[in-house]
Amino acid sequence: MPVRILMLESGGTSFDDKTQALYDGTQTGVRYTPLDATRQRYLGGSTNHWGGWCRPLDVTDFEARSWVPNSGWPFPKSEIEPHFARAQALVEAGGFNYGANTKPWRDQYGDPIALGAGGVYTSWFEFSKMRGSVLPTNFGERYADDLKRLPNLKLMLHANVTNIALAQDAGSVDHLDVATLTGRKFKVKARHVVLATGGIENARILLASNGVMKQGVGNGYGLVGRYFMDNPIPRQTAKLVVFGGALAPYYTDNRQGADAIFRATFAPSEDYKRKSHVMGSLTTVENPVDLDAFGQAAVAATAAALGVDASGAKAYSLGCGMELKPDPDRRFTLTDKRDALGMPRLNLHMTIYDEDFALYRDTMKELGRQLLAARVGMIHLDRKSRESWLETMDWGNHHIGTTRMHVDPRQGVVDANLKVHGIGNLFIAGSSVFPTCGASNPTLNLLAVTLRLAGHLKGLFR
Amino acid sequence: MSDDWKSAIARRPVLAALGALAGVGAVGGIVHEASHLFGYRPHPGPYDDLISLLSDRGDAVTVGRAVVATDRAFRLPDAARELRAQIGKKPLAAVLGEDLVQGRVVETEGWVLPQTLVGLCALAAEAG
Repeated sequence: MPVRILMLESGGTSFDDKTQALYDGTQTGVRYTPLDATRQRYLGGSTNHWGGWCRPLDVTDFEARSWVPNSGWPFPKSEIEPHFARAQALVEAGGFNYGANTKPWRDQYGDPIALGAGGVYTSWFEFSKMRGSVLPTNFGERYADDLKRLPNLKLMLHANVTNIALAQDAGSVDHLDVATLTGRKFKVKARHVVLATGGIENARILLASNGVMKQGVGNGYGLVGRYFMDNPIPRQTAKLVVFGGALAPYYTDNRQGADAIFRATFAPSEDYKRKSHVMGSLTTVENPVDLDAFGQAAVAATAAALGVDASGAKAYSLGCGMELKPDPDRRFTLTDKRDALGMPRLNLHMTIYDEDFALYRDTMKELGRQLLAARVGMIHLDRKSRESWLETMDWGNHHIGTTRMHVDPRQGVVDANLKVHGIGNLFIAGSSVFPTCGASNPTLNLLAVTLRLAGHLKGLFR
Repeated sequence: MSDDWKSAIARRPVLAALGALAGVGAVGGIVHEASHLFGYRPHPGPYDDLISLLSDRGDAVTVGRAVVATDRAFRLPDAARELRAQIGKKPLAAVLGEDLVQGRVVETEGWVLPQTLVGLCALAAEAG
């Protein structure tokens, strides 16, 4: 007998103000995207507004790094690698290349900038593009019909899980309480429950479900909602000067290759991260810019001293997607305020530290050193003070870490199989289980991790 | 009137303008050389061996002023001694290459620069 699946979706098939308002919350600390704007609450979730950037996490992202407290996944990257091909197909990002074979891209658009030996190399993003659209794959629109066609899956729209009711021994989920904004309420009993409501809401539902476990489901060690991570995106962080002027067009814009839409990025190598204790932050080239008189003098003096002609030099601004360290104080907590369904709203306390910026500057300095060593260009670091960094900083709106994965229940909310520690039939899917965030955008990676979970769940039903 | 006449008349101011431009160019060149010779190097100096490694002293001075503004410990004789020891008889580009291989880069006004070049620029700025 096939497994029967009930999928409860809070929203409908399109944006709705009242449903979206359920996400409203407050924040303290460093400015973050408003909680009702950083995500989308209808079928397809935040794929309704994502940018489509895809890149697999690095090997080091999975490792316990001595310079990153609370780092280390319960398994290496190789554990999810078999799932990337399927994840790539689901996001419709074309061939799974990511620099494995750049020859067609180089043949079409020219070679990457020749960096000297060192810690930074040209790496690659690929981009989701929904069939028949110019936009990235919106999972609700793209897969709604597939969901309807599945004979063993029932999709219920406008159905909000408001409580995970545990059995009295707190060892399993007894049922889910579900409510609609029109006032209907009902219970759902299931053999297994997978919470997949996004990196913020996963924590909220666990914390709010405090009927049996007073601290919230899975929160025996106070970890739920903590260690929140996102990728800060400061703009105009630096200037890249290319002595020869020309830079392959895939550095500044997405380009259509034979197998995928792609774009280059400057990434720290695995060895460099391990040796220099920097994070995985990625650098992208933004726009051509002009240099001031000092910059022109610095470029002229440097190029001349290196014996290079810089008469046609061009400058470009750089931006980045940073990797933050897990921080227990960067966290969501419940507040006294309630939403339309009576659920407590969240407060986010957001942090970012001077060290986060300093580590990224170290990587940029290394890039500058390599450019000079190769006599192809140089780097200007635009930002130094904390205020300057924060001035232009956006967020990736990547919600990560609030139900972190660890084999030890004192250090993680879910185990290596994404099962909530101590709860026999409750699993969590999504980037909230990532113990560290890396700098790669999470969607492709969370899909690979979720496909691995699907395989595990299938095994439970055999 | 023939077209040849018009052409001849029209040619005169063009030739005059070209002559004037040539004159301006010559004078400009002399002024530029004079400012280079008399503005920056009125006399042979004790650091000419180092400063002569820089192809454009004006650019170097611009960078160097920023260096010495933030380095209160900068002393010309000490810096020159260190630079001479560092450079020796090697071509400057080779010395900078060694800097870069060894990771000796310095941030000046946000620019990531080879350490020896920064020292030379500072020396050029202080040498006057």
